[in-house]
Amino acid sequence: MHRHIHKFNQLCSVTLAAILAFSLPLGTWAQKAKPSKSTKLTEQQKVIHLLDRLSFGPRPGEVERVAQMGWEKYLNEQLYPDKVTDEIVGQKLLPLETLTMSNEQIAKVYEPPPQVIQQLREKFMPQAAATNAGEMKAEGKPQAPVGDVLNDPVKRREYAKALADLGYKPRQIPVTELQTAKILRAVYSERQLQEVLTDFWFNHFNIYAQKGADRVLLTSYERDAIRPNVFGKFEDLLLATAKSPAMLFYLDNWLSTAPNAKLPDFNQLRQMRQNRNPNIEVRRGNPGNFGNAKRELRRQEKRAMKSEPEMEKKTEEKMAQQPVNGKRTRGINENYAREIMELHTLGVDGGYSQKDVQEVARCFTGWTLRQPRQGGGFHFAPFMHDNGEKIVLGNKIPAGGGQQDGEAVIKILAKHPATAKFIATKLARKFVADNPSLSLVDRLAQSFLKTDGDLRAVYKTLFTAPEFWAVEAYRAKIKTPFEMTVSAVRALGADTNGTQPFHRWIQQMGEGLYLAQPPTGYADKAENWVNTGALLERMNFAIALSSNRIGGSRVNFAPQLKAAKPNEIADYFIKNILHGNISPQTRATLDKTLNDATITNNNGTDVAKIAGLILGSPEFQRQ
Amino acid sequence: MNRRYFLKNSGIAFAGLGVAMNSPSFLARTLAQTKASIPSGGRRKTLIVIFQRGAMDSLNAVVPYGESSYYQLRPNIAVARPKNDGQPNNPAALELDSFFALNPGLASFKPIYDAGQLAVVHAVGSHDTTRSHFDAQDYLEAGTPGVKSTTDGWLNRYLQAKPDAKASPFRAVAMGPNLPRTLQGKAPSLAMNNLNEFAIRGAGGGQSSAVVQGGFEAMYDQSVNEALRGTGRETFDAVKLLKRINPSQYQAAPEAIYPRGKYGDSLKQIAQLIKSDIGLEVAFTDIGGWDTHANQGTGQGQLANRLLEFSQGISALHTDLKDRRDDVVILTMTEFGRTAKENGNRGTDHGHASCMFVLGGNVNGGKVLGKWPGLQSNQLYEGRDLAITTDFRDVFAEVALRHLSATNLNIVFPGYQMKSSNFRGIIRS
Repeated sequence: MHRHIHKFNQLCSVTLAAILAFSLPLGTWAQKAKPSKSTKLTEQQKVIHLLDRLSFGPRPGEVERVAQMGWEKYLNEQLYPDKVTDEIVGQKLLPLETLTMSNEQIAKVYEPPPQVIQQLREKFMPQAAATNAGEMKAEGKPQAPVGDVLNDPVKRREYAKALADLGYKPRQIPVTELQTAKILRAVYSERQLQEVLTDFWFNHFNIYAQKGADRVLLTSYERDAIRPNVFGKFEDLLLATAKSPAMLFYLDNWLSTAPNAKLPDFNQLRQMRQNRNPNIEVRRGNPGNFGNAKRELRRQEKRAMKSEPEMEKKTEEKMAQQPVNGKRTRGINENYAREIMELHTLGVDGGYSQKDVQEVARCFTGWTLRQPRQGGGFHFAPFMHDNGEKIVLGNKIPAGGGQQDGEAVIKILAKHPATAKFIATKLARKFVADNPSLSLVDRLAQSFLKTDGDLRAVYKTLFTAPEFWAVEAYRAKIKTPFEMTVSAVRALGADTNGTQPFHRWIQQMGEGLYLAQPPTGYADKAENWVNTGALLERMNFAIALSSNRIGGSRVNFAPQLKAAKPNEIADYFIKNILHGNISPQTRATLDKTLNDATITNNNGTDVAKIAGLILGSPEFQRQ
Repeated sequence: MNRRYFLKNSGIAFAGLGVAMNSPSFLARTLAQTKASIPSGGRRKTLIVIFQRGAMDSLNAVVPYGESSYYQLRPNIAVARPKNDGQPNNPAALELDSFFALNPGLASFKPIYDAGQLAVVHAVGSHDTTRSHFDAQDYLEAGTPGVKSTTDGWLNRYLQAKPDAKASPFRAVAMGPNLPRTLQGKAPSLAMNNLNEFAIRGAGGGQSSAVVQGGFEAMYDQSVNEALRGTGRETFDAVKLLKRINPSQYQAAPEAIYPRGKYGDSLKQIAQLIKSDIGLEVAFTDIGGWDTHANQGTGQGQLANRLLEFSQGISALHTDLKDRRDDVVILTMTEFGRTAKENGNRGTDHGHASCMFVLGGNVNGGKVLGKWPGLQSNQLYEGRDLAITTDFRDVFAEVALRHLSATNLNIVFPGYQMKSSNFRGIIRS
């Protein structure tokens, strides 16, 4: 078998770069990478393990490259991604124009006002008009594909053209571009840990792209709130999400108003307008937004000019969200207050009470948005704020704090030991095992508390922990659908443009990107990903990818492979895709399948099918 | 099914057998599994759940025409009173009794109601105060209003609470790409987009596909990872059972006209699964487009059109399953109702109570069940919405108990105090 491998490496060194990479000297790999009976990972296994967990799976030749440079150096590089050049993915992302746009810019181009949509829908498809009416429509149908509900292709084209004539681009584009970007980054970025962590933290602070205005707000959310903070302080990350329009909208805090709030009348509004600093919340590095502040003021004025009853009705709709004691009030909305403790910081058993939820909700009243559908930014509205004293988890927050009340809550939560433990558990589960040991969780929590929530320090503790390097952790995690599909592309050295034909497979397996409806995000344990339909789709994806039947994705196998015997090809893929991680029984099973006449035909051996069998195998589902 | 059948028809290539031979314990398990684990389940009681995502306006679906407040609250969008009150642009509602009438979009429900096989439960919903689609759907599917940390859905807990060693892989099926919240959990449940695509695809067809499928199956059967091995087995059991039973051979009855599109297709395939006796116990599908904030129409228009597709699908299903109605209950749900008063855009905003439709041979039909809370301003919930007089769990629990013979309802609905006196008498005892 050993000899075969060498023969193959010679055979294949001709064509593709990807295949070339396979042919680096690594003849001893297949043997050494077999699961060892000893209690320690071999050096080679360590490299594979590190690439399995810190990246979206090894690319051809990468195991060898990292082995050569030393895994410690690789780990260090990944922890300081700014030092890693990443030009290829940068080039690939360039055509995705919404990635660099502000919320307001996106809204302007991609989000026609509801009246426009309603008019057009009534014109082209009267009976479908209801389905898209109203602010909250999109969240009502979680399985809907991003985009449109019009069924008639002719009408749909007319509708799209009418929108285009008015200067609007299809509203699903910002989300589909985000999906594409996420796939491209996972496949091509050299800063793999950064991508893994961005995915992890996005999911921790999950937002559903189909909830109304969030399709406009999500681009900035990931770019400006999540990504810059994944190696920083947890408190900064938490604050950035708390103030992000996407989160304020998703968890309804923008509607939350003190029960006794009195709406400003026309004159007060005018006064507010005059007092307001025109430099309202501007996205970092985007001076273009200053121009919009003026427009925002005009809009505000226009709103104030609206007739009294209309204004009242509008406000009433918003205020009537969350009544207290069965009596309608100018609603406190507890949604965000609850989730920031349950999901973002303390955890469900983190020791907070319903009273704490109410107090936190009071603190965050007034953290709101102007016109989220138009991409309006964070804004503190004093008249919505409950200015009384609050007690949060035993801490007194004095009356009159205004916007600082919410900031005080962020500080209390970010430093709380329950938060340290909750974050430690989630990180250990993500990077080590579904049920991590308590001692590991404790050490990570200590690291979190000692460093004031310095996430990079916590990662360092994690990646040097004996539990991380334990034999039990090796290949103990099941890949999520996203990880599986991306790691398959990487393992084959294939190419993808990350567009919808590829994304649809991920969605079919139940992990549509940015499409987790609940604030809990997608599950981080295997049991949720291994269900029948989804497993079948993994196998079908494997065959489709290796047979070049996914639009925008392409794999080129060396033509020489066709001339080889099926078992030799299997050897080759087992070495290069599974890195030798296959049990003798599975191998024997595979060999029997390969002996079937249908695997070899007049064209030579069906290389794609063998690659598909390996990618769809249970071994490739693990990492 | 015997071993011979297994070898002949299972699609396992010789590969799987060869390895099994080397491993006696494995072989024993495989054969035992083969006998026990691909039971078709046979004919059994089935619950079909249809989720109307977006919050249906129950007051314009099942119109309380006997209440004058209804017409005061909705001067522009009220459905005309039955019989004499219709206009060309607002056809009259269809009388159910002296108080309620159906939106003309639901016309196909009328004969089923008259035959006593369709009941409406009105003023039903979740007592939780949320008016968020997102939370309310979550609560309805999890079956635990107000509790967001529930990890599984109530339909899945029903399956868990009533373990069945002979359960078919098709015991619980959701038509769609994802397993809906209500079927997520420990009990095996199947999500499928399409019956005809639930197979190893694109491997060249015929013997070639069989070899690839056999290869996958044998490899999964070897996996050291329990979850992958177990689910792999369930998957291939389902694939093989589907192939063997071939539900697609059961064509819809000619008089059952399903609406075109995803929703109608899903219902048609559910009927095929039932007719094939594949062991289906719980089926799920959904239909969107109910969030009618503007221009929702009256006896015609947007809402009426949604109701048309919705009800024609269900009526077709009811017709299609005419020989099996005693075995089947169809239950609809929506996350909440809409404001009693129309808004300034001739639509309705997020409200509180809504209504459910229940169909089946053993349904105590021909009635609008539940207590009517009234539409006068002091009767409205928070002064604006139809109040809830029936907890949605009273409906779910009754159907689960009396139709599916559910056990351990305390597991299915944790925190819910079940009292049969709260049941509305939906299922004939």
